[in-house]
Amino acid sequence: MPSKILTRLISEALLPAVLLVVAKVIGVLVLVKSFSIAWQLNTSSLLPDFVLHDKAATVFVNSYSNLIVFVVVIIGLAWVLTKAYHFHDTHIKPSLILQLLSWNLTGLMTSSHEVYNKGVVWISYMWLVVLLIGVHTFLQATYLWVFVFALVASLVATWYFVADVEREVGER
Amino acid sequence: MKHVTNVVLMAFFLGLLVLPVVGVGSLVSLSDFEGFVAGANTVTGEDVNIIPNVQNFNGYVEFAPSEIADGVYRDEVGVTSFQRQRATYRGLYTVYNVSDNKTVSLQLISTGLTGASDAYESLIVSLGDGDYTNALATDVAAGSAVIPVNNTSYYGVGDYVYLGTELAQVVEIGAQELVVEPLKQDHVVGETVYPQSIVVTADALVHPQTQSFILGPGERVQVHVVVQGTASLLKQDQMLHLPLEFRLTEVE
Repeated sequence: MPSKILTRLISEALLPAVLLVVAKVIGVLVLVKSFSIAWQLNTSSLLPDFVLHDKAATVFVNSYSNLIVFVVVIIGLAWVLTKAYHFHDTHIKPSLILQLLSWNLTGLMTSSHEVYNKGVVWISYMWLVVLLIGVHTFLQATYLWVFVFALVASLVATWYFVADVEREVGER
Repeated sequence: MKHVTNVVLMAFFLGLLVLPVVGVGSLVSLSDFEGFVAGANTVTGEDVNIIPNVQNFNGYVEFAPSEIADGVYRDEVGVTSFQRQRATYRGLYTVYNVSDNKTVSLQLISTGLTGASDAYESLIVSLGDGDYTNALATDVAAGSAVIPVNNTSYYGVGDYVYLGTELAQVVEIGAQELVVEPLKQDHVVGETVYPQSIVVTADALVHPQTQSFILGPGERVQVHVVVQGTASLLKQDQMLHLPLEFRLTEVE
C-alpha cells in the first residue's frame, strides 16, 4: 500500500510545478517583447533556452523573470497561509463559519491535512526558488536586491507557516 | 514491496519539486556567466589579436575599438553605403589566435544598426577566410529544400544561411549541397549564399550572430561586410554604424 501522504504531496505538487515554468516562460516573453530585446530560442540543447545577445539584457530579463516566478510562488503560499489562519477547521471563528454557511462557501474551510500538505509543497518550492535565485546572484546573472527580497519574504512566510503549525500543536 | 513503492514515490516527489526549478533556472541561457564559478580561463588580448583594417578602405570605414574584456571585444564599426551599389569590405578585421596552446571559439554578435535605415537595403557581416561565400550552382524554386553549392566547409547543421532575402536553416550537409527547410522564395543561379552571418535589413535585425569559428593556435580568420545601398540615398554615400561584439571563449 503506497503512502497516502506521499501520494497526496505528489498530487499537490503538480499545479505549482506547471505554474513555475509557465510564469518563467511568460515573464521572459513579456520582458523581451516589452523592451524589444533581441533573442533566439536555442533548441539544440536538451532543455530549450532563450539566448539573449547582450549580457546586461540577460541579467535584466533573468532577474525580473525570476522575480515573477518568486511572486507566483509567494502568492500560492499566501493563499495557503490565508486558509491556515482564517479557514483552518481547528481554529476558525464561529462567526466566520456562520458567514460561510450563509454564503454557501463552506468549501473554503480547510483541514490540517490539506493545509500542511499544500504548505509543505509551496514552502519547498519557495525555498528552492530562493536557492536558484541565490545561485544566479552568485553567478552575477541576477540582481542582488532580487535575492535579498526573496530571502526576506521567504523568512517571513516561513515564520507565519511555523506559527500556524505551533498553534495547531499547542491546541492538541 | 511497500518500502520500495514508497522510496519510488519519494524520489518522484523530490524530482517533481526539483526539476521544474531546474527548468526555470535554465530557461534563460547563462553560458556567459558559468565560467565565473568554474574558474574557466578567459580569453585575453594576450591570446587573441583583433586588428581593424585601417589602411585599405580610404576613409570609407571607421572604427571605435576597445580592449578585450571578459572575453568580449566591442567596436562600433562605420561602413559606407553607396547609392545603388553593393559595397564589399573584405578583411575589415583580422582575428589572430597568437596563443601557444589555446583553441578559441569566435562568434560575432550585433544588436543592429543605429539610424539611417533608408540608406541601405541590407548589411551582412560574415566570418571566413578565402572564399567564404558560394554562388548558387543552379536555379532553386520555392518549396525546394536543396541548395547546390561548390564548397560546404563554412556551413554546419543548425546554421542559418542567407540567400537573396531569405534565411534558411541547414538540416543536413551533402558533398556539394545544403539541405535546408523548404525555401519560401525562388532563387536564381549565381545568387550569393552566405554562411551564418549577422544580417540587417532596413526593417529588421534578420539574424543577430555569425557562426562560431574555431581558431587553433597560430590560426586566423577575417571579418567581411557587404552593404547593399538603396537607390534613394539623399547623399551619394552614407556612413552606417554597426555595434559589434566579438565573443571569444576557450574551447577545451
